[in-house]
Amino acid sequence: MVLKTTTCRFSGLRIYPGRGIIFVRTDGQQYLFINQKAKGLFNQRKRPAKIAWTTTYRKQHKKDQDAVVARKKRRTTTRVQARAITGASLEVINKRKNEKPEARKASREAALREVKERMKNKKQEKASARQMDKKAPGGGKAAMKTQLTRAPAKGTKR
Amino acid sequence: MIQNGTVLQVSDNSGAKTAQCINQSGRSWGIGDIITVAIKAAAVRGKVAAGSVQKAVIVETRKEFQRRDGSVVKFHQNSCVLVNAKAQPLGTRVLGFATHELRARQLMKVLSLATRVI
Repeated sequence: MVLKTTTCRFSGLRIYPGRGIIFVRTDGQQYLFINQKAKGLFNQRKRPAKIAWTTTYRKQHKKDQDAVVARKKRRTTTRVQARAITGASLEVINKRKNEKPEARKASREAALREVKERMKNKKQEKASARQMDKKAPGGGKAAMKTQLTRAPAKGTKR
Repeated sequence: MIQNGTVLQVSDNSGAKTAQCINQSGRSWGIGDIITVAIKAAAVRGKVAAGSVQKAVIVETRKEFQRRDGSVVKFHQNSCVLVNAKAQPLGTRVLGFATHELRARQLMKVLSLATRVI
């Protein structure tokens, strides 16, 4: 259940429902007080900034500041890679860093195509090799069938 | 806690300025109660004359009153609005505050005339 708490006009403390007094002045101003202590001091025309237990005083005298963690804005520093790493010299690193995404994508696609070509050629070689075996009296019909059924499965995976 | 002899401010535009409670002593009245008042001071060309006897409904009291939710409200002055025998206001405007306690006493006309409602 969400409770709506108001704040005391004099002390700045939270007033939970059922507590406190609402004082309505003739000019229409409404004053909420948490207790008779705050209200009494208000009637005596005391200033909250001079009463030590009020939030106004505490804020003015900068009390309780450690509890409030001031979040410092962290500046993001961009580190420059200035050293070579084993496996890549500085020129290679810089070239790869400054490569445009389109160029990178194009080179990747070219490499992928090359690999696919290689695999296709290899598959064709294997298929032709098996054709040669078929003509020779080497394997039986059952063995041939299993070999043939295996090949298409490999093909669909690609 | 308005009782016999209490002087109240009149917070409508009926012409009266101050009214004194002339109910019989013995008990006290609060917001929403209708009392008999004698007009002590009034504007010259108002609806009521000074010295006349009227009925009034109490709208503001210095004595704090409590609500069901626990809140306590207290005004700065004792105030009333002049009404007739049928509890209809004599004036056309209510200049001070009115509270929702009037709703339970069937004084909706007074509540509706008020601009400041608590």
